[in-house]
Amino acid sequence: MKLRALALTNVRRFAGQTARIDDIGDGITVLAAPNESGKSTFFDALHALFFQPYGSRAREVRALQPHSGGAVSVAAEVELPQGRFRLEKTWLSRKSARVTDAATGRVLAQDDEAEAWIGRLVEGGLGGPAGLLWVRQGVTGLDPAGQGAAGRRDWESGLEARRDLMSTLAGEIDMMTGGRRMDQVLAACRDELAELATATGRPRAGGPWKAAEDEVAALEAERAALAAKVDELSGALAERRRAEEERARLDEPAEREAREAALARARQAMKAGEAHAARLEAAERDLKIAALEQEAAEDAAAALAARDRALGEAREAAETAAADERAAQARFESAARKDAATAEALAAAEAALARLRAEHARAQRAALARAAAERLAEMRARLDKAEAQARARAAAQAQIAAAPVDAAAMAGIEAAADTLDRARARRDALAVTVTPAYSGDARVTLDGTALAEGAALALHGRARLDLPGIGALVIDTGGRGAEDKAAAACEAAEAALRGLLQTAGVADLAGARAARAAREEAEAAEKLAGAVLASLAPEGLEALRAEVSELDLAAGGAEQEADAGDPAALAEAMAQAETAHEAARTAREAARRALGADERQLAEARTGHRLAQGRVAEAGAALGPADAHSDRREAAAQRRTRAAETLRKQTAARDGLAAAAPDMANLRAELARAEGAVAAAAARAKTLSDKVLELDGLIRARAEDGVEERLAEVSGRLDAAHDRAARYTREAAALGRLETALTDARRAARDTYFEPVKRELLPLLSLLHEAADIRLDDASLLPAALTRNGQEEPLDILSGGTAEQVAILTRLAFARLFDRAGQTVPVILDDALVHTDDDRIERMFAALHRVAGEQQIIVFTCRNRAFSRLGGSEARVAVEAV
Amino acid sequence: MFRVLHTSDLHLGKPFGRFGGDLPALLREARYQALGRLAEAARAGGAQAIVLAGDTFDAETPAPATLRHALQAIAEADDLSWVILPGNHDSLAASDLWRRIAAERPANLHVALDPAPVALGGAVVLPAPCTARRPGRDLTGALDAETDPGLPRIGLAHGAVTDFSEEGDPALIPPDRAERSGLDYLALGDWHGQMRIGPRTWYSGTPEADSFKHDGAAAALLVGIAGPGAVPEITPVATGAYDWRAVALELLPGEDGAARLAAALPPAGRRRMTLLRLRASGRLSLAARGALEAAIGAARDDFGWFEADLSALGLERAVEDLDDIDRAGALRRAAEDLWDEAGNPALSAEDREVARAALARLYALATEQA
Repeated sequence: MKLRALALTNVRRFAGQTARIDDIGDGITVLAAPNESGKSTFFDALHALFFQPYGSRAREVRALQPHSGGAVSVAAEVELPQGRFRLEKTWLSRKSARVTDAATGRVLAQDDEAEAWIGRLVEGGLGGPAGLLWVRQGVTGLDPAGQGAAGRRDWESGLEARRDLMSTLAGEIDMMTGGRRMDQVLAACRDELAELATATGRPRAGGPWKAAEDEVAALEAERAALAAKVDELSGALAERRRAEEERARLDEPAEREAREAALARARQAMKAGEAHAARLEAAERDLKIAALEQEAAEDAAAALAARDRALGEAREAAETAAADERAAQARFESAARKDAATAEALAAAEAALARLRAEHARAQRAALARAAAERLAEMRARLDKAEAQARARAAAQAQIAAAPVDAAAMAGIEAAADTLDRARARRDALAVTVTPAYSGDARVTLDGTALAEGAALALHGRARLDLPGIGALVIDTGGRGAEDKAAAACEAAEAALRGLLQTAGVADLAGARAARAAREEAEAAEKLAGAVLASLAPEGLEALRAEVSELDLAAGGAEQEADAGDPAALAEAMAQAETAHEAARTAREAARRALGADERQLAEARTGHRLAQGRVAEAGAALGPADAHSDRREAAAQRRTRAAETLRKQTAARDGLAAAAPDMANLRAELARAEGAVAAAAARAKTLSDKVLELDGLIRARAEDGVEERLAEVSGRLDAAHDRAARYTREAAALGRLETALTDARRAARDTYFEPVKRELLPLLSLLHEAADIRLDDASLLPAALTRNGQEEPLDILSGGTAEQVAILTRLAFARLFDRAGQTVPVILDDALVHTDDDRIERMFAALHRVAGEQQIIVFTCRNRAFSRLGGSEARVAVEAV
Repeated sequence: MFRVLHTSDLHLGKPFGRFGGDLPALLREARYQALGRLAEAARAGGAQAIVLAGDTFDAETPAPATLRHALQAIAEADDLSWVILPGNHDSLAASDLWRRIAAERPANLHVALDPAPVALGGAVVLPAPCTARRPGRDLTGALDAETDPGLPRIGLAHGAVTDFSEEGDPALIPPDRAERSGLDYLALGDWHGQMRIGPRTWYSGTPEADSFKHDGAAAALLVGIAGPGAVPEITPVATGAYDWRAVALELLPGEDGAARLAAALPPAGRRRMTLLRLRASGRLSLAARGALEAAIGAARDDFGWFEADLSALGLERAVEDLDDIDRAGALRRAAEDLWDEAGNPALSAEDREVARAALARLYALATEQA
């Protein structure tokens, strides 16, 4: 079906008018008009024409009526494979419907028949192929957005249409995917599997499989416990049998008698052995006594011989000691003589030494006196010279005292004289000088004093010169102030000089200078005398005088010692005498020490001799009288012989008994064994009885439990549980396998089924999204999710723009599929793509153009500018009054 | 004519743990009641004595009640003499058991704890008691013992007469023991089915079946001996309460498994007292198998116990089966995948079996949903 023309009469703002769009072509036709200019009016009118019965008073119809009211008419011309037809409906105040052959103008159907005709054209109503292709403003969903029962009906008919279409293209979906049966089979399979197993294929808790496995585990544990008890029981039975057999053996009479006979034998043997042991002990005792007797006999003989030997030895020792004493006596006497000789020699040496010492002292005194006399003369001469010098020095000192002008006073006088000269010079320089040059003899006098020829005389103040022959000449020098000052200075200097001279005791400068010279001369003389005196008497004159007095005294005895010897020779002789005396003294000391030693040795020798004599007496006493000696020796020898014989006999007796002695350890062991055997048999019998009793108890307890029967029963139940668990395991495996097979098969079937839709849709989708894929829901047969870059997003979470685009592209794809199935329908877009941005909208336009080659697309839009790039032909609205 | 009832392998107290519900208790009870039925059979057959050739008790040390009930039953039948022989389950090593019996034994019970001959009025019984669970030697040499030549000699022994090991088992009882030892009759126990070894030598089998191993109804043997040297008359007497029946169905494609099953099952009146084990083999299509399983499910509760093992039943490839699942589409595809897998020799037997089971399951679910 293609739409060729549209006419609206008395619809909304076209009240009383007819608005017409003619010559709608193939491909894209755009009716671009601003809002409220009637764009939606055309869409709604066209929608009503196809889907509202002419008798309807539905809101959709009433919405078409203008405010002025009146009947509403819509007409359209459609082109079908059979030809071109005009469809016309009028609602509300006039109700009619009509279908006319456009070529011939023949009315084909009216009213209800016309409705049926139109109904066939848009079969399936809003949900039909045609309905599918209407896209209202802002619709992003894929299904008609109707509510309530009508909406559901529309949805179902839309699904039916899609199903039909796709069945035409690919086969029945139910045939392909198994449909409801598949769903039910799969659900049943999953239910059964879920009853048994978890999602991971393990037995599910609370399920029968798990219960079977649990039962197996529980029974295995129970069986193990029972098996242990059964083992214990059979062990106890065997143990009791062994114990009872052993006890029976122990109780056999033959065994018992044998044990008792063995014990009796052992006891008898033990008694015999003990008797023998007593005899052996007695023999041992006798043997020990014999041995002691023999030892005593030997000791007695030996003692006798020893005493003989001791006496001989004592006598020898006594002789030796006597000889020693004699030798010591001789040595002592010789030493005493030697001691006396050395004493004499020492006395002689001491006398000689004393004499020499006296002579030597006298010779020394004489020599000293002679030396003092010689020195006395020399010292006296020197004392005389020294005294002369002392006198000279005293004279010089007197002179110095008489001339008081010393160097400092002289310098003061000189300085004062200079000061005076300079003061006078300054005074004279200020004065008027007159120098007379005489031709005759007359002389000029001043104050009676004549002035010398050619000598300049200074005048001060007013002076009156008497000029003989002439009178007098008064000269006033003028300049009184300076004159006076200079004159005062002169006077001061004169006074100072005078003072100094007075102090020095001289009259004038010349006198001072003379006094000064005299003083210097005296000082030089005093100095010389002092120096000479110091060299003559360095320690003073008094020391010198004392020395002279001493020498005078020493020299006094020189004459008395005139016969005294040479002191040096005497000193040498005296040294020799001292040496000789020392030697004599040493010899004397040695002799005395030797004498002492010999004296001690003599005493010791005497003592030794006395002791030796004592020992001889003792040994003799011990030996006894000499006449009894041989009898005693004989008696001792006989005793030894007897004792040896007795010992031999006793040894033989003891050895004989020892050789015959039974092994007591063996006897004891045998007895212990025999006793032990009897005791052990009794104890063992008791133990066995106890054990049998104990085992009886255990066996009875186990028997009462019936553990063997219970073990057999549990084993049987375990086998059954194993079988059951294995059955469930197989069951779960089979159900799991079945589920896999079913889901695999259904997935493969869907892929095949949706292949045509995808073949149309994916190229369109790829204009907007690269590498995009779409998953179709096999219940609604519509896209359910979009996959971009491997990420699958359900359609309902996509943005409005994307959802809108997918919705439109899906319609375009279905439109092409319908076209291919021979059911061409226009796609009508009423201000669609409101959510799509300008970039995407161009790509959507490209998609529209891609489809528009074979498809009529009619676009109502108020977005003139955006849709100006869509291209296609523009529809013109012609409006005329009715 | 001296008559004796020969039985063995009563296995009193056997617990039957692998069965669920009340059945173990019922089976135990049936074994106990076999004592009464044996006494009835002996009286009915005119026998003066009952000889039990071993394994009277299942355990070496049975629960006190098991033992006491048995002795009470024997004591109650005091018109009969009972001779009990220790077998391998209740050998002489089970000393506690025999001690307790010795303490509580009723006067009409003789326990053959040693090979000493037992006089039974008109005959002498020569017992060969088992000394241990596995004595490892032939104990029946003791049956040579001399007895009153005027009385028939009845041997009583427990053990196998033949085995299949190559070395030969020294514990085997010689099949000609009766002739060798001059016995008029040798009453044997150990084998739970009834078996004739020779004209004078029989296994009586257990009087109350306890496994699926043996065909035929459980029974005792009524033995009549005219006198020393005479060939005994042997008459089996049915004594069993429960039937243990093993049914094998070999099925071929196209066969009606349900019909074959119905033919193989006992009449409805017997089923309550029947334990049945079904083993199916051969091949069936999924549909036929489903029908068989449905028939099994329908019959199952008729029985005291019912076990069906279809693991040996192969799958016949039938296009109708797949069509029943679905003619096309994903279900069909899944079915074909599983089918291929079930028949793929490259896979392990286990994987093939899983696939087969999955396919059978799919068939069941899909046909339910049809």
